[in-house]
Parts: sequence; structure tokens; C-alpha cells
Amino acid sequence: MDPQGRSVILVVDDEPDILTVLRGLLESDLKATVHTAPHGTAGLEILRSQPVDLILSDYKMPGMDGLQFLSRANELAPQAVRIMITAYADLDLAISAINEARILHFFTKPIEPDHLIDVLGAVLRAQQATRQRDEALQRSLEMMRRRRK
Amino acid sequence: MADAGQVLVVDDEPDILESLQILLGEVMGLEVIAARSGNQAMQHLAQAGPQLRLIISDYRMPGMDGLEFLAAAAKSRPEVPRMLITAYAETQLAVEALNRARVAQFMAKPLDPTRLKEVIRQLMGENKAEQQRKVAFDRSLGSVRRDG
Repeated sequence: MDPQGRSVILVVDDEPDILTVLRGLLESDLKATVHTAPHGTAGLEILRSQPVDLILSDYKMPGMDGLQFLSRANELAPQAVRIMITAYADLDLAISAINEARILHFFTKPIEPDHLIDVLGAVLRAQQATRQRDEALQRSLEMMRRRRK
Repeated sequence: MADAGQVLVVDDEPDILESLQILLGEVMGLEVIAARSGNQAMQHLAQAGPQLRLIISDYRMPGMDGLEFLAAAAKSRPEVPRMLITAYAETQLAVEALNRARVAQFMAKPLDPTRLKEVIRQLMGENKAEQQRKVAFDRSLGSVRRDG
């Protein structure tokens, strides 16, 4: 979440047009802060520099592919939910994405924008609910500590 | 044994079910609840308490298949990690297992016992906070039901 309380989404795709479209869609429909990266290395740099709630990555990209990127992202920022998009789903990829990159959802292209927004919106709502519950718990614990003093 | 946690294992093939019972029960020291079908597993699931820590299900079974069963388990016990095992691994099945049943692992048979033990330990070792995050995702995504 960013300082304004908006969810932060990182989108990684080597096609600039797709990044532009996804940025517009996610900003307008989910009111999220969207960072984009044209390859996995740039995506990892963003993950190292700021908190991210959700990562949406294409699979087929030059250099580090989406599977390698999301596996590294799982180590670097395990709290960020990982979702993969691909036009080239095969069995090995799907199994590795589940077992190694520990993704939460798998989209196969072409994607219906409404469905994308439904799924991502549900994920972000769940994250916000978890965060609010954790914060409320933290506040309660703090109050209990103060009373004991 | 109950302290180590319970595992619900579902497979219609008696030999495989027995092998898993030996691996999980005798080798790993877990309490194993065995079921021969999705319907039988649903009954066990309804009676299982908080000590249930993992569900492993075969895919192809008569009656309710493993995907349907795990999708139902995701709704009734979202905090319990789920694993689908199958001799009929296909891309679409793996995608649906993730998107509909939110499986934590998808394994093709024949199973490698060493790898299986490693994965089971990892899944059963997940902390409470991680489990709660998954429950929130399962509940929220439960209302979004398409597979693409």
C-alpha cells in the first residue's frame, strides 16, 4: 500500500502497448498505484525499492522469463501476491508456476478486462481486510500493554 | 500422533492410498485419514477438527473428482493447504486446480517420495499469518468463479 492508502500493483510485460493498457485499466477500475517494468530485472529493482501488494507478470519475455521473475519475487517480496499471464500455457509452466513461483492465479490470453478486474479486485480486498485486521489486533495488543504498565 | 497434525488423503486406488498412508503415517509420523472417493472425503472433512493440516487428493476418481472435492474443501476449510496429485496431468487441469481449488501444489504421478516429504513439511510448516492470508484470498476469490 502506498502512503495515500492505495494498493500498489507491479505489472511486468515486454510489450509497451500492453503495459499502457493495463496501467490505464488498473488505475481507473481499481484506483491502484501502478508501477510498470519492461522486463524481470527492472521488476525486481522495483520490488527492492518499495512495497508492492500484487504482481502481474507476463510469462514470455526476453532474458528472465515470467516464471523466473515470479520465483525471485517470491523470495524477495513473499507478501506480494503473484499472478501470471500467458498466451503460451503448457503443463510444465503451469506446474512450475504453482509449485515454485507459488502464484495465486493463472490467466491465459486473451483476457477479458472485466474478469481481470474481478480477480485482482478480490485479491486486493482480501489483502486490505487482512491488513486492517492485523492493525486492529496490533492496536489491541498495544492497549493491553499500556494498561499493564 | 495427533500433535504432529492430521492429513486427509484421497485416492480410489488402494495401492496408492496404502503407500501414502505408510509414507505419511509411519515414515513422517502424521495422523492419516484415508478416503477412497471425493464423497467419502467430504464426510471426513465435515467431521475434521482444527488438527487437520493438509489435504492431498487424486484427481480422477469415480463420482466427485479431485478437482471438485478440493474446490469444495477450499470453501469449507480454506486455511488447510491443498495438493492435487494425478497420473493424467494436463495444462488445463493444472490451471483449474489453481484458479478454482487454489491448490498449493500440483504433482504428477508417479510421485517422488523424497520430494513429496519435502513439500508436505513445507506446507505443514506454514505459519498462522500465512494461513490467514490464504483464507482471506479464498473467501474473496470465492465470489469470482471463472477459470480464465
